[in-house]
This record gives sequence, C-alpha cells and structure tokens, in this order.
Amino acid sequence: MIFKWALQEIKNNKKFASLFVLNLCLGLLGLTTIQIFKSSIENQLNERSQQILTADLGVSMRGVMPESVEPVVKKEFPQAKIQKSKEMYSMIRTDELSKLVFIKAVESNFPFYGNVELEKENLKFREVITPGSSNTVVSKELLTQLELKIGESIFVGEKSFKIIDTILEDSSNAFGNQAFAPTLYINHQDLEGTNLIQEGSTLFDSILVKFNESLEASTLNSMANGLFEKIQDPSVRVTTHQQSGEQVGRLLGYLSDYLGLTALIGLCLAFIACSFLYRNYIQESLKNISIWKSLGASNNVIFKVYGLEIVLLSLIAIAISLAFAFLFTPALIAVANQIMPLNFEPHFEYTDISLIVLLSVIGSMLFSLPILLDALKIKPSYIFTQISQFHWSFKKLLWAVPILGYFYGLSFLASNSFIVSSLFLGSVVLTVIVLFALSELILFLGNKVFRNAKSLTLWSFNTLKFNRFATHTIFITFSLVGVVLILVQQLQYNISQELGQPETNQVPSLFLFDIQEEQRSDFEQIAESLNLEPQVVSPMIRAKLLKVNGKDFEKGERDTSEMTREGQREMRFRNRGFNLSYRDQLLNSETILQGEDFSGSTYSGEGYAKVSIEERFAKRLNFELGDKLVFDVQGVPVKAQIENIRQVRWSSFQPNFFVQFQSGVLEYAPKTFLATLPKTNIETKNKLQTEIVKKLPNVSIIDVSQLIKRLLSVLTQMSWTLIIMTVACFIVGLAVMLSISQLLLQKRKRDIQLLKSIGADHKLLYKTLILESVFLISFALCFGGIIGVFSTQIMVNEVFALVPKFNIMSFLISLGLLCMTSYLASRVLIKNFLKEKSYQELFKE
Amino acid sequence: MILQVKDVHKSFQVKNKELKILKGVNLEVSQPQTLAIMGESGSGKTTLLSILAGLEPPTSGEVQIQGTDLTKFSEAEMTRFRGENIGIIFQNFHLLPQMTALQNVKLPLELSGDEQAEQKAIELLEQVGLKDRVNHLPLKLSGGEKQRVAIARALSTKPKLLLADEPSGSLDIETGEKITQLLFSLIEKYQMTAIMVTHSQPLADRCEVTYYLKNGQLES
Repeated sequence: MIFKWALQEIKNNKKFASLFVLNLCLGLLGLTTIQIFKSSIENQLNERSQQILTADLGVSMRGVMPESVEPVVKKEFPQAKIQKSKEMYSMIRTDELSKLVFIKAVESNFPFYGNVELEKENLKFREVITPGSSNTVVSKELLTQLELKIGESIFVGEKSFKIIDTILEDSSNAFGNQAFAPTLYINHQDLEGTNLIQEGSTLFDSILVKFNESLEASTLNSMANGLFEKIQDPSVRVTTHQQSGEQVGRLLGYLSDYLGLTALIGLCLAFIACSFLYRNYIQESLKNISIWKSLGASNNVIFKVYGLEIVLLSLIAIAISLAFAFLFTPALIAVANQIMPLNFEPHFEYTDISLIVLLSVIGSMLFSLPILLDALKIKPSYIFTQISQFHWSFKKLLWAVPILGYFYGLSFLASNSFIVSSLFLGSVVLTVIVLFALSELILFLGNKVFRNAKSLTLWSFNTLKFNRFATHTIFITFSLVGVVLILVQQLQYNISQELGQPETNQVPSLFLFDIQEEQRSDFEQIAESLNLEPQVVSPMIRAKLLKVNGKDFEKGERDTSEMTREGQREMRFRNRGFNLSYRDQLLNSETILQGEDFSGSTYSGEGYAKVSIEERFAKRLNFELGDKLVFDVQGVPVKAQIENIRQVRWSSFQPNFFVQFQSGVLEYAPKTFLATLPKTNIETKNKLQTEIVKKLPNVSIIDVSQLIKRLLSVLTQMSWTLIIMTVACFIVGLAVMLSISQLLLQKRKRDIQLLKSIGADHKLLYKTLILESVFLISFALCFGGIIGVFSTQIMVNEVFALVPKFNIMSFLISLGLLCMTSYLASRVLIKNFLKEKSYQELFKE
Repeated sequence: MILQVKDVHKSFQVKNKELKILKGVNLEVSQPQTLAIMGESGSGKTTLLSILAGLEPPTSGEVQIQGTDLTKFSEAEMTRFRGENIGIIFQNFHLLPQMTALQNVKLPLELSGDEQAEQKAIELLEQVGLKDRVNHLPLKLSGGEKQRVAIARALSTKPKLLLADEPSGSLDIETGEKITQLLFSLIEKYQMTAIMVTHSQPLADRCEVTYYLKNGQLES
C-alpha cells in the first residue's frame, strides 16, 4: 500500500517529480561516467597487468642492480623462471644522424607474458633477439627519423646492431615511452659490448619472475613482501603484476580523481536544487499531510510514503544517468587511449553500480530528510489555519554534519587522498560561506540602492529579498560554476604558458645526462666548438640514506595498494635511492623558504656538512630544519645537517636535486654529470647530438622542446576533458537555475497577473524579469570568476610553485559566454511564462 | 454611455466538449451608478467580471467602455486602457506581499506615469483610514486593512469603472460592513460606476441595480 501511495504521489506531482529527476540525473551523470571510466581502466589494467610487467613479479631498481640481489631471488623462488631486463634512454646513431631511443635489453625468452609482434609475419621476436646476434628490432618511426632501411646498421653505444625488423605491437609498452622516444630491443647479453652502462648510469635494471602456476593476488603479494624483507637495499623495488598495472594507471588515476572532484561539484549543485524543489513541494503538500493526519495516518506511514517517493525518484534518476553514462564513457576512454596506448574499452562492475545507487539514494535522503521531518511536525489543524510551520532554528544546522560527512566520503572516494578531499571540501565549504556572505551583502546594498526605485523595480528586487533561500541558491550555484570553470581554464593557461614559453623561462633546448667525470671536458669542448655554453653542469652522486637524527632510516612498505595517495607518494620517496649534488650558487629556479642559504661556503671538514632539502621532499619524509642525516655514499658514511628548505621550480627543466650539499663534501665521490644547453637552431642541435653520440656514446640527450610538446599535448587532452566536465557542471547549474526560476515564476504567477490587471504591460514585465535574472546571474558569475582567478593564483603559486599569470581575454570571453548562455536560457523561460494569458489566480477563493 | 455589453457569449473547451458559460449577456450603464450581479456558484459571475475588466476576451459579442470596444484591443492596448480606466477589487485582496501598503497603492499610478504617485497614494491611504499603516507590509495588516489597501489601489487612478469580486467575501460580518460603507462612500465621492459580483444580499441591497446571472444571461 505504501508503495502504491508513493507512486500516486509521484503521479499527482509530475512537475516536481520530473524536475527532481532531471536535476539529480544531471548531477549524477558526471559521477556515474567517471565511476564507469575508472572501473574500465582499473579492470583492464588488472587483466593486462601480466602483459604490462611481462612477468608475475618484478624486482627492479634505478641504476645497476647489486649482484647480491639475483641469488636472493633465486633462493626465494627456486622453482620460478627468471630473466633479466635493462631499460634506459640512450642515444643511437648512424653515420650522419643520431636520436634518443628507449632501449630495452632483454633475454631471449622475453616476454614471459604478452608478445612483441614484428611487421614480418614469419619472424618471431624470440628468434631474432638472440644472444650475441647483434640484432635489433625498432619502432617503425625510427627508420624514418634516421633515414634507415631494414637490414642496415646503427650504433648503440660503441656496438653496431643490424635492424632485422620493426615492431608492430608491443603488449609491454604501456607507459607510452615511444611517445618520448622510439623503442629499440636488443639482447641483454649484447648490451655489454655497447659500453653504455657506466658508473652512475641512469637505467632501470630488473629481474623478471614467472611462476609455474597461476597465483592469487594475495599469495603473490605476500611472496613479494617476503622477498622485499630479504633484500636489504631499500632502493630495490619488488612489484607484483597487479601493482605494476596500478602504477601504469596512476596518471589516468590522477585524471579521473580530479574529474571525479569536478563531477562532485555538479552533484552538490544538483542536490542543492533537489533540496530546494523538495522544500517547495513539501510546503505545497502540507495541506495533504495534515489531511492524512486528520484521517488517522501516523507519522510513520507518512514518512514511509514520502521517503519512498524520494527513493523511487532517485532510482529513476540513477537509471537515466547510467544510460547516458554508458554513452559518454567511450569518449573518455578515447582520451585515455590517447594518453596511454592500451586500447582500453568501456567496462563496468556491478559493485560500482551498486555503490552509485547506494550513494545517490543516501545523498537524496540526506538532503530531503530535514525537510520531511520538519513537515511531519505539522498538526492536523493546519487544514483550517494554513499557517506554515517551517521555522528556522540553529538545531537544523546539525544536519550539515552528516551532509558534510557524506561529501567528505564522496570526495575521498573520488581522490583516494585525505589531503585532497579535506582541501577540496574545505575549499568548497569556505567558498560557499564567502558566496553566501556576498549574496547577503548584495541584498543589503540593493536594499539601500533600490529604496527609492520605481515600484516595479522595487517589487522585482523585493522578490529576491523575500525569497532569500532561492536567491542564495541561484547565486551560490552560478558562482560555483564560475569558480570551477575559470579555475580549470586559468590553471591550464598557467601550466601551458610555463611549459610553452621556453624563451622567457630560459628553458634549455637539450638536457644531457650520464656524462662521466672523465667525459666532462670533452663535452665542454664539443659545446664550445659549436659556440654553445652549457647553462648548468651539475654533478650527481648516488647515495643511500642510513640514519635520520641517529635512528635508522626505515625502509618504506612495499605494498602501497591499500594506501592513500599521500601514503603511496611517501613510500615511493622512501624506497627510492637518493641522488645528491652540490653547487656554489642557487639557480634561478631555486628559492630558499626556510633556514640560511649556504651558497659559496665550503665544508670545513669538521662536524656536519650543510644540506639543502627540497620543500616537498622534506614534507613527505617529515624532515625539518636542523635534522641530522647520515648518507652512505659508495660505502662512505657522510654526515649532514639540514641547513635550509628550498623550493624548486621543476618546470625550468634545469638539473635540480632533492638533496643538495655545500661544496667541499662530495667532490671526491664517484659521480656523473647532468648538463643543459641553451636554445639553438636545429642544425647546431643536430651537429651537437651527432658529435656527442660519436665521442661520448653513453651520454643521453633529451630534446626538451620535443618533451614539452608531448607534455603539452597530454596536458591539453587532460584539460579539455576537465573543461568538458566543467561545462557539464555548468549545464547542471543552468538546470538548477532554470528549475528554481521556473518554480519562483510559478509562485509569482498571481503577482504577475495582478500587475497585468493594474496596467503593467507585457514588455515592461519582461524587461523587469530579465533585468532581475541578469542582475543576479551576472553578479554570481563575476564573483565566481574572481574567486576562480584568486584560487588559480594560490594554486599555481603554492601547488605548482610557478609564477601566476592571468589571461584576461579568455577570462572575459568565458564569463561573457557564461552570462550570455544564462541570459538566453532565462529569456526563453520568461518569454514562455509571460505568454500565459489566464488570470485564474486572481479569482481563486 | 459608460458601459455597453452586447450579446456576449463565453464558452470553454472541457475535454473536447464546449461548455457554454455566458449565452448572450446584454448590459447598458449610461450614468454613474452601482450595480450588483448575483447568481449561484458556477453561474459565470466571475467570468463576466473578467470579460468586463478585459482580462478575458468573450467568445463573441462586444464590450464597450465609454464607446471603446475592448474586444478590438491588442493585449498591450488593453493593459494600458485597463490601467487608466478600470479599477478591480478582489475577494482575496491580492496585495503584493513584498511591498508596503504605500508601494502597493503607488504601483498603478507609477505604471500610468503619474509623477505625483507617492503623494496621491498617501492621500488615498489616509482616506481609507490607514494613515498609520503606510509603511506596513501586508503580512502585518489585518484582513480589513488589506482590503482597504486594495480599495485604495483600485481607486488610485480614478477609474471610470470599478469592478469588485466579492469585496467583503473574505471578511467577518462587522469588518465586511465597515469595508462596504467605505467603498460606497468613495464610489459616491469619486462619482464612478461600480459593478459588484456578490453572494451577499445586504451588499446587493446597497447597490442601485441588482442583476441575476441565470442560464448564462442577466436578469434584473
């Protein structure tokens, strides 16, 4: 019976029901799409994780793996198959041309899982890349770039290799490395002759493990934990194939996290609208409720009927939003495939759908319950008195607690980060409070300004004043849309400006690494012969951190899959080796935040040497000024004390380090050098590359402009996706505004009919209503836009450590477009409303 | 001739059926006088009042006020004409709740472009006995006070024709009586024609002429 009555309520209040469903559906659409997108990515990364890692388990480290590790692995897994792999960026050359490539040196049974498919059907990868064959297979584009043909030879380091074929498909190439540099496969044994691996070379050295049987994720994880415990070196990582898949998905994870947060704003707006609609609906239903009561219905029954009505409406909204989400997900997946060429396909899990259903219903109930419970307090005598019983009390503010808790939970679900979700919710709440205050201020000032205005203008303004809740809702909704849209747009502008204007930032054109000590003078001579002066030449010394303030530096946890984003980041920092450096002067990209600058000072040889720590690195590892650290530099303990905390602008593309010593400490330690060269023409760049590859074959060169191009392309794809999500948010905002405005107009039907009856013509009324709408929305969008600009400036400065820039043109165009769209929507609504010629409201008894 | 109603018909479509409410109403008022229109509920009294006020067009027939045929007007022309020539008092007062008594009365004057709107509105409010309630919002006024404001508003532009829909219908007997007295004294003072739709026999008795709306036609 309850169900029947609830359905009857929906049938009898079709307008409310359809507006409620429309708003909730639009609000849920973003979140549902993101959840299906996330699910698709996670599921397929999980399915293909063995192919991505090419094994069940990987033991890897940056730099050359100590010889002691392999016997530990073999002892731990005596039955397992093992193969070695080394991956590195390096230059290769022909007689005339050179190019940075991603070298994969693998053993002949590579890969354990997946496949490297070659162009020629009759050729098998494993039969080509055999030990001692000096064969290589390469990405197709490399042939074009180096003007080569199959069968010709190239130099990899000091060794010549014959190109047997090109790669058609490589299931392990998940990171999209080929976007930065083409791939080149050689046999692991052939790597020795290249002489590429020298002291301090940058490479990923791995031991890949395949077990004879298929293992459960938990079993594999505990086996990996066991191995990790036995390997003493904290810089050695042990990764299961599932974790490898998760790591690959990290970039897409960040994208979906932030899309999820933007979608949450949309959902928040939708809930505000639904709550407004429900409040109005319940106010109109008070008479019905009092009739129910007078007929003997208990509060329990009425609660069930109206509660079930909300659940049913929410379910309808979820069903529609899911249907649309399935339509939109392929577009997002296409973006993911651009960023990461893994041929993702849309996929969903029933658990995700159940979660969405549950969360949506809980959300709707949370926003509706305070209103419904209030209405249930009404007495049957309301039938006669008709006096509304909605009264404001501070007790009602308590409802904010579960609502905030709900949104905190949702934002944590979206970002998997306590810090991000706290910051997100904190900023939204703070922004809403500021906007509420601004909205009140506008009404207060408007009251003074319009005090002596003509009656119709006064009527219009007073309507805003008398319908405070609706006015604040529309104002806050539109402001929030303005904040988000301008924030995303200006953030994208700031980052692309930072990356895209090398001239102004002195971004180098070439970045060189792995320059050995004895090669430094040769490198400088080559640069000088081409009239190029290196911008920066920085030494890099590999080390391990032994102690912090007298206590052993604990190795981080291996398995981070259950951790928050912050935890994962800290563990990644803990488990990596440390690259140390020293320099006399700070670079332009460095700023001291705390402590004293020790530029120019030299270590006296007694006590602790002074070190400078990068700000975020210090935060992750909880380092503070004055902390005493002990490093193991190639077996020699080096004591240091943190003298300052330094901010680094990483986008400068200059060699920068987390840990920087004062002079006089590390000069005699074995080291390699990183160097940058300034902007130059393509010819000089090519000449320099060819010279360096010929004379210093182990040195790798990154073309920074190419790298920036690639980064900008990924950034553009990501920011477009974000902008689309924000526009979707705007559409929700528009729907909210239209729903509320329509409701308000309906409430003003009597007023309008009365005004017409006393001589206010159609034109005048239209002008008044349009002005009212433009007044409110323009103020809201402008304030939102300004808050968006300030938020961008803070984020750019604090989070990205960049000098904030402001693009006034795109700001004005975006705001103009938003105002125009809102104006057009209001225009249609008001025109349609004023078309009605009936005067029935005036003669109702 | 102040008002001339010629063979006015009005019908509505209800579920594909034509519902005839007025079936040839004729009425002539040549000099200022008060008229009451009585009839059973649903007889079409309010419909007739709407047509006389130019709020509803008749299905057929003519309505002339001072020789001007209302049925020929466009919507904008009708609104302007009504603002200047017709005052309406509603049973439920229909004051704008977000505006004070003064602002409610001032509104029609401002709409007609009267530059002395405020002064005239204050005078009218004094005449209806609300000198002390000028800046009160409707919410703060009693039923009787609200109807006084509504009367002041209807009279503000000094219309030739005053139309009232159950002017004392929402008030208790005593207040209703006071409001009726006030209304009639003002009608007399301003020498206007008033047509009142009512169920109240005492109110009808005060009018100079009483008509009954039966079977869609007026009978005296």
